[in-house]
Amino acid sequence: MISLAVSISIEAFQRLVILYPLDLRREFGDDLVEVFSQQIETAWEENAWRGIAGAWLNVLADYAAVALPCLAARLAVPVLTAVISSVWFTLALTAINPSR
Amino acid sequence: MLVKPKSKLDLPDEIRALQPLTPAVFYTLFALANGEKHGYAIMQSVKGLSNDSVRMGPGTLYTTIQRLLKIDLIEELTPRKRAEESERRRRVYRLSGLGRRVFDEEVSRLGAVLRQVRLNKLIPRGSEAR
Repeated sequence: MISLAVSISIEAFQRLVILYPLDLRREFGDDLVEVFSQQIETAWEENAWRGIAGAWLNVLADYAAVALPCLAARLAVPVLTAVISSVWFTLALTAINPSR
Repeated sequence: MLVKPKSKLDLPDEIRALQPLTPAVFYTLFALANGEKHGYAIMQSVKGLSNDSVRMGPGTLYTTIQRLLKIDLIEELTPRKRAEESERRRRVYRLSGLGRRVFDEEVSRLGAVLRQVRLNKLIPRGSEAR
């Protein structure tokens, strides 16, 4: 019987797969989940809760290495656009009404 | 004393740009040099071959596989070529001819580094490389 902790972990990972880059998910979405499932099952069998914690720490490091740079690149353009727009809007308002 | 390592292999520029290989790429090729494997087996093999110093998460593993497939260093086996019936669902990978050449060249490069370290008597005490 698969432990509840393992089932919850797999369920959580399935939801968090969305954090990985789109092209990786499209090509290897099922494989990512399958590898994590095997990893977490082995971790539970070998070290119970410590194993589960270790496997999740490994996944967090993985997100930092793979998902975060991609997310940062995706957010860079909209964030920069918002910052430039705000600065431009402030400068425009100052030019229209310099006393304020 | 320095000895300039000579490369006898003529590799494409896009492969040359990868060298020296990152630990993830090197150990993935190393794992597959021992025979065809599916994703989880590659992950376990990398852990063992690196004495637990390289731990790949699912994303790192498949990003590496995706990259190596793209530049033809590894290839995916078609289902009918897979050895076991139970493995049909899983994707199985193996080293390509080019992948084997790149792996061999990296091993030669590391060997040359080790020779230099030995020549200069710089191997740490207690090291397995002594």
